[in-house]
Amino acid sequence: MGRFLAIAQTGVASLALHPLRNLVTAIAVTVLLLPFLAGLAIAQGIEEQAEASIRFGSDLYVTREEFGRNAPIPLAALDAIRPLEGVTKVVPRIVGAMTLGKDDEPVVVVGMPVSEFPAEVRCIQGRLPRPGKPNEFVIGTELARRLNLKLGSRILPFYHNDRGESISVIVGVFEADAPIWQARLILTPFETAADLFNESGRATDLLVWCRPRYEEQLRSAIRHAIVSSRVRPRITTRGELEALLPRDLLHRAGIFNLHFVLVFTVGILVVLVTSGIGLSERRREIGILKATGWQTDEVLLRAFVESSLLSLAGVSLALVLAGIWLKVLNGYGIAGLFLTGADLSPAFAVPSRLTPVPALLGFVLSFALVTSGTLYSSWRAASATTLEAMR
Amino acid sequence: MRAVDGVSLAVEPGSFTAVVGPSGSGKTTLLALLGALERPTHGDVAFDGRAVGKFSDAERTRIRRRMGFIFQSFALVPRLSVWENVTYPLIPRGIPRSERLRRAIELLTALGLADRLTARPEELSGGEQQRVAVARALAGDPDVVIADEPTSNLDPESAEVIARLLRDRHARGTVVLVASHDQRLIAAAGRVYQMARGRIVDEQATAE
Repeated sequence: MGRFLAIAQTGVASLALHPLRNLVTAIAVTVLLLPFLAGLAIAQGIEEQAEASIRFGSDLYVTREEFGRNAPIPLAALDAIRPLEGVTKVVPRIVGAMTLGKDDEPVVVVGMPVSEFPAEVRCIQGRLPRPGKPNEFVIGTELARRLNLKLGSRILPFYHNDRGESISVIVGVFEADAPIWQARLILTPFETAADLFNESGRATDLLVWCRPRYEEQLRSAIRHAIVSSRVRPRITTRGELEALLPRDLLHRAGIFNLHFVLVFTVGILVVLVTSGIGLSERRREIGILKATGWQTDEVLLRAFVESSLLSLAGVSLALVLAGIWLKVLNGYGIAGLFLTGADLSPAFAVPSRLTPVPALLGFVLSFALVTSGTLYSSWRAASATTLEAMR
Repeated sequence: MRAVDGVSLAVEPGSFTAVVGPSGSGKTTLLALLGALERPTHGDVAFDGRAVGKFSDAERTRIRRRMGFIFQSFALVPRLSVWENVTYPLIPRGIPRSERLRRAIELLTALGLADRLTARPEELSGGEQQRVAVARALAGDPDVVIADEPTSNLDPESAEVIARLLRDRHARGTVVLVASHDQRLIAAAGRVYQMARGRIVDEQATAE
């Protein structure tokens, strides 16, 4: 054991023997890992927020199915659902996408009774819309900034329905725990949203809260209560939604990871070059060690310790810098890859969470990078004949 | 082209053997073969009666641990200090740091380098570097010391120190095999082999 420790210590000491090479290698590793760790942290942060949104949402989501897809549901279903056993509350909601501004900024309009506006939404300017007052909007801080809208701003008619056109007014600007909302969301009373989309008497979904453990029972009860030749209900539970929602995020993270794999491949070549600095010196050094009685596995253990420490240094530095990038610089430049609507410098707090898994993954990648450069060359030198390595 | 061809010699326990010959005659290659640093393409080398030519890398290293090799080019690790260079071969043998340091101080003091323990090889003269290489070869208390031109290109004082140390080791029972033109070493040898063009062309037994 003491022998292994002593050999391992030479690996630690050899970091200081080749400071330039090791510094360049550690920096190369850091530069490669930094965007990867920051990206994973943002993806994780968004996923957690999405899960939290669902967790604090309703127990069941009722829509109509048409051609196998979600379709608006008649408000008449509300009256059929409310008396069912276990139901504590039913709220109609309209969620729709549209564009605003000269640059056709994508926005999501959510219309629901003002009393049911999400608790996570905090008006930092103005107020919430008043019930019965049409065309009053509350918008997220980031969206307000991008569209240059302020409290009291009037939006010229941007939609047309059976009743003509209306001027809308911004009555409040909100912040939310979910920054994505700040970037894209417009909250408005249910009736205004119905006007906006010209969908009177219908909702995109009905949010149903129920007593604990009533979800499954209610699912079939609601189906029986509102099914007809025209209405084929689709009922989604909170658990099902949790399983469905991260798909888009995972898709984005997948694309990001794919890009990273390409960068990683190039990175291996970069590290091979950087760790190749002083390669002949390393080779000769290993030759001398072998000539003086070091076994190949002992030489490799020494190189392994050196590589591991270099990897650890690289990933630690990358983690610290990723933390600074995300918390101090608020994901400058990278947030837009994961958050639709976020520009280079988002005005809201970009969600992120650096968990042990990406850190561990970063270490594995870092180790793979460094060992590609150092351990392989050490193995080649250690496997060569002693005098050949010493030349 | 064969660097060494048709050579057959035996190095007896406790002997002091010298190999002489002009540059390119195959002395260094012969020592490398005997020191298990190179594998022969034909024939074999036996150590303690066991043929080592077909030995695995690990087995050959184990044999090398019983030898101390002094290279003509010193072969010091440039980034290690003098004492680290001397004791690095002892690390895989599990010798504690305090004992390694003790041996290094003892040997380097005997070689007149007590004040250069923490110096880097580049800060030393050629003679001093060769003395460090000698200390390294002797630090593991080897059964056999193989020295390739250990005193060439050295000042007379350094050459004398090294020659004396090798003679002392031999006197304590260590096998010494040396390739050299240095009369001080040749005179100490009990057997001298003359090489030319990769072959042994003459063999002389002298009084030890």
